[in-house]
Amino acid sequence: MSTVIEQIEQSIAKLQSGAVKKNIGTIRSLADGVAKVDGLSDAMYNEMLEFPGGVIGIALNLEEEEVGSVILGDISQLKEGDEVKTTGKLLSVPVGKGLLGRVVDALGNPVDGKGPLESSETYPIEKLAPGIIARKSVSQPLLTGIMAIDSMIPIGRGQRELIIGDRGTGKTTIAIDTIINQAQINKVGLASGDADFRPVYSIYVAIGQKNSNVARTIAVLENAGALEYTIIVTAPAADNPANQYLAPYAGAAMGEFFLQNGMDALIVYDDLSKHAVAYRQISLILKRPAGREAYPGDVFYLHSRLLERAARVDEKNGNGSLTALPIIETQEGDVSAYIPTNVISITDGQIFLETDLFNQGIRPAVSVGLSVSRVGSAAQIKATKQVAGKLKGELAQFRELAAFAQFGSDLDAGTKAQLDRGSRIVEIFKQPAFSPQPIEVLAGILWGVQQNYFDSIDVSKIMDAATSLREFLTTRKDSLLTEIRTKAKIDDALEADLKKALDEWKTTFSA
Amino acid sequence: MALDKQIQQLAKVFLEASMEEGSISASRVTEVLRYIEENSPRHQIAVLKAYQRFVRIELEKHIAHVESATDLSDSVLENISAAMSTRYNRTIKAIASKNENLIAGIRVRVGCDVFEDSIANQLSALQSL
Repeated sequence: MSTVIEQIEQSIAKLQSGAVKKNIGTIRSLADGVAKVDGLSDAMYNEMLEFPGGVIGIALNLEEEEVGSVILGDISQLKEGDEVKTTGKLLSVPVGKGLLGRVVDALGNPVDGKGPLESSETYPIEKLAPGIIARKSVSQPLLTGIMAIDSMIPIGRGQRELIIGDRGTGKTTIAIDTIINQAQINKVGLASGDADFRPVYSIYVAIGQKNSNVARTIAVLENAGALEYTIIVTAPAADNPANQYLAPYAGAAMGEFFLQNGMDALIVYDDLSKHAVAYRQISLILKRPAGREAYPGDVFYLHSRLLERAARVDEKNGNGSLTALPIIETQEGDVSAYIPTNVISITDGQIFLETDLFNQGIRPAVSVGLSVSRVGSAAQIKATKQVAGKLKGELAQFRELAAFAQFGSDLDAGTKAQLDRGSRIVEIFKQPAFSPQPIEVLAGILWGVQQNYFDSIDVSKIMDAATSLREFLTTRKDSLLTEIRTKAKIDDALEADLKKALDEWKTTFSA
Repeated sequence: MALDKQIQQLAKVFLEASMEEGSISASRVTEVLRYIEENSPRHQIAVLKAYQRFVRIELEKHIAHVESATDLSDSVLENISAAMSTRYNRTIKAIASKNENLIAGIRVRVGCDVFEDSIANQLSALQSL
């Protein structure tokens, strides 16, 4: 009983405490969502400031006599001379598994009309990335379900792989395919009851996009059954630049929850070009000095500190990972512009999508020559390495030869054979949107390519043949696929089984 | 932007010229104003406005605005003045004003620091629990 009385006394004591010290300031000017506040001498960088009416702002410019603050709420009720208080808190967002299947804004408030979030924990949106000691090199694959990527530009858990290309080249589709593939793998893995299975949760951050596009993405994920493993953070084009600037950091904080609790997560930033534009807008309004293309001097740091938060940590730190797929939109294929070169240099590789390939009907329009994965091959499973080892080189050679071949008709037999094979590989890698393929199917098809099963088929029928083989393997050779998945390599016994299966398929397929 | 910076820098120079033993001196301010009038620096009005703002901020650092629901005696004000002067290590003069919204208690503001022990503040703390 005495403890209860003590508790009540402590509560009373808290309320009876003497003078409370606060740090205040007054709004000196207010324009374009930015307030210049006199005073606030104790304000910290990125601290939440409390404006009248419960409106929240962030201190972004700390000057000698004033503070530049970006306002996150409705500014219509604010006026010059209003009192502003420091809160002593950094901006935080709710995190946890309760957010899976939900759509939230940059501040973590639900915007999907499904009621309040089931989350009791919050993480600060700005956090230092894991250090060198806590990190571990990339060693586990993150399968996108896209044959061209999984075979030639493999991605590992904890990697940062940039998706770059002009508008309308299928950048978002690759990211969505990857999210759908994680959901499909999660379903199979969790149903198998394998204790070692590690599901990958996804976070999709939409920055400066049209609401209709975001709604379409949500619908695609919902139809594919992937929304239950995904958190969507949205700061649409109509949102103020401050929210667009904060959204990726909020998403990263949500991803860090999985990383720090020994789980694996994938985060897609769609896209960082618009993020840089939103930051430029804020910086210019805050009167920070403008540099190249009017971006502020710290635009590199803006993205480096965000992408460094993607990591694979060692067992001592929970063995979790956060893989990042940032997206950059180029103008007229110019990868040497300011923001693209910055992000290319920060990431561990890039998937470059070409407009020409897209228009030729080669989808996904991955440019094999310009795309690279710097660390992912370490994470690639042996089965894929065995069947796809030489494909990238063959395809790159084909593209080069094809460019020369169009000038002359007299080609030697060797070149003709190389062109013939190349055009078949190009056809094999064509894949419709939102239909990621399991890695065992990919291994089976590419083994067929390696063993020349497609050489006798007309190039125009290759896609049909690949579809037919896929169906044959999934419907009639399920045990074989399971064996490839579990063994993760093609040994002699498996090779014999594959040969038997493909011979059987070849007799049934009529080109 | 560069122009704005130049104006602020010039105003800062004038502010430094107005200081004597760590506080604003009325005679020096008069001299600075005469100098500005005689020499007419570029963007004179903007410079004067920035100068006025800096002087106001500086003066505010030496004043403790004491708000209370009831009138305070001179001895209380003297005590507050002495306590604040010790805390900030500069001479601070207390100026009293009445604020019935506090219900009871006191609110002291020095520059951008506010020290508050009032019923209104405790009620708002209760409300936010």
